[in-house]
Amino acid sequence: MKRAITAIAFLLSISGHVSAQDKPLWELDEVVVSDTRLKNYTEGHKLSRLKDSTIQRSGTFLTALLAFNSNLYFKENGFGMVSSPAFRGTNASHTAVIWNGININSPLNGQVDFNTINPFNYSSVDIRSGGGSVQFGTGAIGGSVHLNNDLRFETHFDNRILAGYGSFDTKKVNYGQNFGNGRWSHNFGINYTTSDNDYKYLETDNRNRNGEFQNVTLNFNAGYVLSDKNLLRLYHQSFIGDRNLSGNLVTQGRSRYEDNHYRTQLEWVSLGKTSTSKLKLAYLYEGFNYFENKDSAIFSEGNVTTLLARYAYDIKLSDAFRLNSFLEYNHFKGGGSSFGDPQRNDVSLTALLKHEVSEVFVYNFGLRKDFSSDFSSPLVFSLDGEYTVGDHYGLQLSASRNFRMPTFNDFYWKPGGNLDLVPESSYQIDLGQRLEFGAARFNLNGYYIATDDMIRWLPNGSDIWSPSNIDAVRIYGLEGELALAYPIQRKQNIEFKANYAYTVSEDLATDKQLIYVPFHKANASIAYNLSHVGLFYQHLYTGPVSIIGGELEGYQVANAGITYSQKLKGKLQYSLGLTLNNLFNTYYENVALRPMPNRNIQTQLLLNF
Amino acid sequence: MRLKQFVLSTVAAALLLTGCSTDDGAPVLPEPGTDSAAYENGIIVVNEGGITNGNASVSFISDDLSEVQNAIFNTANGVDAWGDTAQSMAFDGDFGYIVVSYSQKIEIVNRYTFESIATIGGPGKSEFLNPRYMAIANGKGYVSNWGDPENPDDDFVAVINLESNSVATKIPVGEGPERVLVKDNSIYVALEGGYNFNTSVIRIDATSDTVADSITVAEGPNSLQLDAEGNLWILSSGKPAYTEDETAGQLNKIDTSNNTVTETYAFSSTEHPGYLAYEDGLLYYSVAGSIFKMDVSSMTLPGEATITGTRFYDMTVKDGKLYGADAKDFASKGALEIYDLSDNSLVTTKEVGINPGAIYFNGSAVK
Repeated sequence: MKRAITAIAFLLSISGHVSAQDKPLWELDEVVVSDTRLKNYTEGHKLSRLKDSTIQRSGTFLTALLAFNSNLYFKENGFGMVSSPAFRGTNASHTAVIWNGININSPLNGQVDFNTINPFNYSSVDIRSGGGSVQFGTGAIGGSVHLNNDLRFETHFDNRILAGYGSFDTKKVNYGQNFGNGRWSHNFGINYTTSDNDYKYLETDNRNRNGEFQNVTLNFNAGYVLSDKNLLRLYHQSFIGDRNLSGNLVTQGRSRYEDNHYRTQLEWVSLGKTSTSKLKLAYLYEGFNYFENKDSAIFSEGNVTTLLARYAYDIKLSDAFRLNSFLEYNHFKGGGSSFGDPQRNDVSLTALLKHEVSEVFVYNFGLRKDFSSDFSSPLVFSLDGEYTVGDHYGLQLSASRNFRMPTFNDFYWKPGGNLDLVPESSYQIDLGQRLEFGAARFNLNGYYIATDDMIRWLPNGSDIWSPSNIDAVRIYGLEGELALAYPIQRKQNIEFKANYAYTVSEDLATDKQLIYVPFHKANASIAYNLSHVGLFYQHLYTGPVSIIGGELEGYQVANAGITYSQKLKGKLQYSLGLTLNNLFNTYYENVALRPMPNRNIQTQLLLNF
Repeated sequence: MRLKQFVLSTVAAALLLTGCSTDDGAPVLPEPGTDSAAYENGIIVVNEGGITNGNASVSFISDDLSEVQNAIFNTANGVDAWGDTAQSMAFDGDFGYIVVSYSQKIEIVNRYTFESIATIGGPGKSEFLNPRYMAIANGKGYVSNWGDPENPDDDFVAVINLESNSVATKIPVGEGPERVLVKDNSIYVALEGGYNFNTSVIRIDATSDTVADSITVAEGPNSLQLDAEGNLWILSSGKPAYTEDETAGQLNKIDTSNNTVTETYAFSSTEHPGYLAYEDGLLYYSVAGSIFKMDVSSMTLPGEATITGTRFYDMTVKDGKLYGADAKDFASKGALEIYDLSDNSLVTTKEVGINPGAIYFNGSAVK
């Protein structure tokens, strides 16, 4: 937050003197970040940032980026199909996805399909480990994934064109633009991806049939300095997806799934002497059409519209204390084949207090209460802090209570929806140690999560499936993260990153590990740059997981790539890239009976000007 | 449980795996049979497995109940996953026909060894579309098919040439053909309705392979039985409350000489019976987990349940014992429960595969 405030303050302080547009107004390389809560009020949490260089090395979807660069584990129903995470052994609706400060988990099922998000259009992707319901609302139990678009106000005009082609007739094109003139800043990216996705199933005579997909994503973000104390920001994101859903080794997919997401938010930031107030309005829409037979005109549908209004007030009370509070209102309106057109209104009230006890010790305390027209929510809290020893060591501790709201499906599905559900409730504690020496960083975290009142759908006495708050889960684990960067001479650079997670996630009724949670998951990546040439290698190990009625083998899979970049005249720079996915041509399934792609090649040309 | 719910909740509510159920351990691998007829003289339970999970299986319980072998198709053929949603079986001579709904196929096995003989249809092939039940008449096989469940107009009964093991013809029928029953040269097909509720049972003539009669009953005809006098009994569930158009269940007695309804037994408007079984002049059925027994000569429905508190996904009666398949939570291993009908006591419970939904009896192999 400090950085943003500084940026805005600096920006605002000079904007009053501007008389002409012919001179750059903004000479510092400062940016306005979209969600200041990520920097501030979160010292006790591990926060990992994936920057654009890492993002560019990943494939089309957020799934691959996080699978290879974080501790999140993914279940993907075949490549490009529906993908859901298990973050710290939690279930798919226990990872919150925060888009520029707004929780975008689906009100329909509580989850985000990580194959509907193209990371390429974001400035950075942050992974915040541990509970964050006080700040980020429903589902922030295992942790949260933050999609950030920064706004650069300094005078600049940059363009980017990307064209990619690869195996399975995979094509992608992307155009991005980034502009600033001191008072106004915008950036946008538009992306189209299509793939036949008909990879061969190794060790069989089959191919992945009915797996073709295409999607368009559009991101548009803008900021405008109204006056020396006022700033307007707009963020928009669209995803228009059309997928056939592939089958498995013993069935053939026949269905098709179209899903559209439109998200827009407008925020007015007003600066006071020691305070900042923000008013945010957002409109979120998601809808799907499911065709059981892709060639038929018959489909079932569902959609939900969310209107959000949030007022946030941040004030520096004294040298030691800072207070952030916000009031948020959400109106949800659903519609669809299976639940009529329910509506719901939620209000939440949050207060966060930061206490900088000394130079080396800071802690935050937060409380949040949600009020809903349909159910009562628990009072949730968070307490987190960091104690630093010298320049190299930090001790982080956090404890929190978090929740996951019942979804539209849980409440209103006909038949079976249950209006008597209560939110899932989770307590956790997380102890982290951080070691930093220059560009070398090591994190070690241990945590314990106890989640109660978890919702499960079961057939009831009258042969109807209905959800109830019956499951309880205990999770504990250990995570290590190592990041190193070595500049060698002037033109060489090596970066190394590795993650390891040990996760025990047990159903309290059976004392058995939950399905699709590996005890062990590890990944490592190394990137090497020498002058114009870049090389990278990524390796992922996923241990065996329990599945219904059995076990799914673990697997190791690796990707490698090479890029060649060169500056031409002026600003024009090109980069040619070639990536080999599944380098060792390994047969693996991350959901049972759904083989993932064999070795494949993707090429791309990137132009910056 | 109606399949529609299952499918829709699979697709939409749990389109993404929620990962909050636990594993019940690896399948118990049976001892390989010591002779070529490993699975004679016992009970065959067909386990659907989870839709799209590809974990269909077949269990065998010896008649003396001393031995349980799960995943016998896997064992006999040395395969792992072989089918998605095994719905039911039919038997003819030494052959067993496993109807595998989501894999769009029929696996033909030696019924006593479960060794695979042939496969009709399969993923991506056009022989079947959501096949449900099969019966054999006039030397041919008849398989009810929903077609596209969302489409009420493409349902059919596939006629199988049992010599070539191929589909000879498809007879178009009304929506949701489900259970089938053979009497002489007739195949009765209950049009339960699939995703909806249909109201009739049709008769197919096994010589002409055409629909010869249609008998109107109530919504959701879900089970068929023949009594010793050759009368057909049809049990219909009625529409449950969740449809917001609840109708009563109904039991009908049909004179098969002219295919007309001779008796109608109406349930109360909130009773939705299923799983009609028959032995020695007595009918058995289930209403909300309670089992009722009725003499075929009775003029009224019985008032008192004989067994209560069951959660059957299928049920049948043989030699004075009632066999019920309990699918539990439809994600962990189910159980076969056996009751002694002389005193309605639970004799034993045997763990079987995931989603047990059909129970059959395998006699002695002809040596």
